[in-house]
Amino acid sequence: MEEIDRDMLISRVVDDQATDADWAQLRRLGENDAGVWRELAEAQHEHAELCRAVESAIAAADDIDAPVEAGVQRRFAQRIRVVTTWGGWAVAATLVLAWVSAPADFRGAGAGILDLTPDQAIQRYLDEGRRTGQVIEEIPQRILIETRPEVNGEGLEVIFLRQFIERTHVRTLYRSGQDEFGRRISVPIKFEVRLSNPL
Amino acid sequence: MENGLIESQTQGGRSEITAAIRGESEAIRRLWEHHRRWVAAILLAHKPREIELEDLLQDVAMTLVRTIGELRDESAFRPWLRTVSINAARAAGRKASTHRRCFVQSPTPDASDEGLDGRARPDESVSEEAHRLLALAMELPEGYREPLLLRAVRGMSYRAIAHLLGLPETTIETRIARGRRLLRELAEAGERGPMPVEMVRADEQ
Repeated sequence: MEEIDRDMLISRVVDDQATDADWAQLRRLGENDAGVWRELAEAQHEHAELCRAVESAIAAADDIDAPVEAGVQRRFAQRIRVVTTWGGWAVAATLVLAWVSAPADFRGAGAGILDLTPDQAIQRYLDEGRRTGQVIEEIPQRILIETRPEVNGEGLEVIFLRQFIERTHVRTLYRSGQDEFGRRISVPIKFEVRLSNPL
Repeated sequence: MENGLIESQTQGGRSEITAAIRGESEAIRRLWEHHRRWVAAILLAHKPREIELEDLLQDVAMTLVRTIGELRDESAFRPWLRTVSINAARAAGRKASTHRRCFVQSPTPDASDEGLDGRARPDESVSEEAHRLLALAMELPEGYREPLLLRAVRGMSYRAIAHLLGLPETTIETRIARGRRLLRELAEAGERGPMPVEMVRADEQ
């Protein structure tokens, strides 16, 4: 019992956790057995050495970054797969969504937007969209559409596509259909989709 | 600063975990940066000697990116990441074990030539004694080894370790104190040379 108390006291001192009562007890122990001070010094030294060795060994972690780009690609691929499995009506649904969900109101958020460069405006759109939950992320890959030499002969002009993944909430989805007279109509979709991690 | 652990108790830490669960790349990146050092210590405590720490860290980082979206409770993040780390270390151990059974291994390099992460790259700034202590700490029973190594990571308090391991703070304190005692005994036994068989038996009782 006494031995455990002694180890605990020394360990608390090493970890800078000793209370006044701990110190008082340690002094009492030291009065009867001066070896306790030697043990304390050794424990502090060993702890310092072990810290150095562990910090050196785990320093490798500082060079390992989270492969978030791979994660984005994978999640995007998953989403594409989800859309694919929903079938052809999903394409129509994306078009119809624009009709049944409220258009985004940029009037408030757009205050002062004319003062921003296009890049600043996009960054603001991303920041604001992430804050509100409307924007999930930008797809890191940019799709090349066209390249042509600059007029002055220096470098290339690159036309590319940037894509953003957004989230919206709707009460009903519609697909495009035709009535008995061949007229285009929107037909509500009834479905039960249970996804553990929906878009 | 408590190495991202106590920090994660604050609203800011929790919101970062929430954002990471939602899949925000920047939040995942920051989260990993805050936690990767203690993850490395966990891996160090559980990995087989011949497996490189960097490889396991990459595995854990990849698993974090791929599966954090499945986490439902932010407060479970650190224990979850610890479990991911231990699983990665054990899986590597099983692979290494299979590999050893299938192929004739070259002789294991001498411990003095090899870093504890399995690489031959001794750190000049760390004393031989420090390396020896870490090697001895790796021989401790798991219950003592893990808290002792975590305590050696800068900023890891009893409280942070207790939360990570899902144990009471008093248990962590006791294990660290007992682990230090065992480490001292191992070091002293090493200085005296191999312990006589009867002494080892007496100590085991």
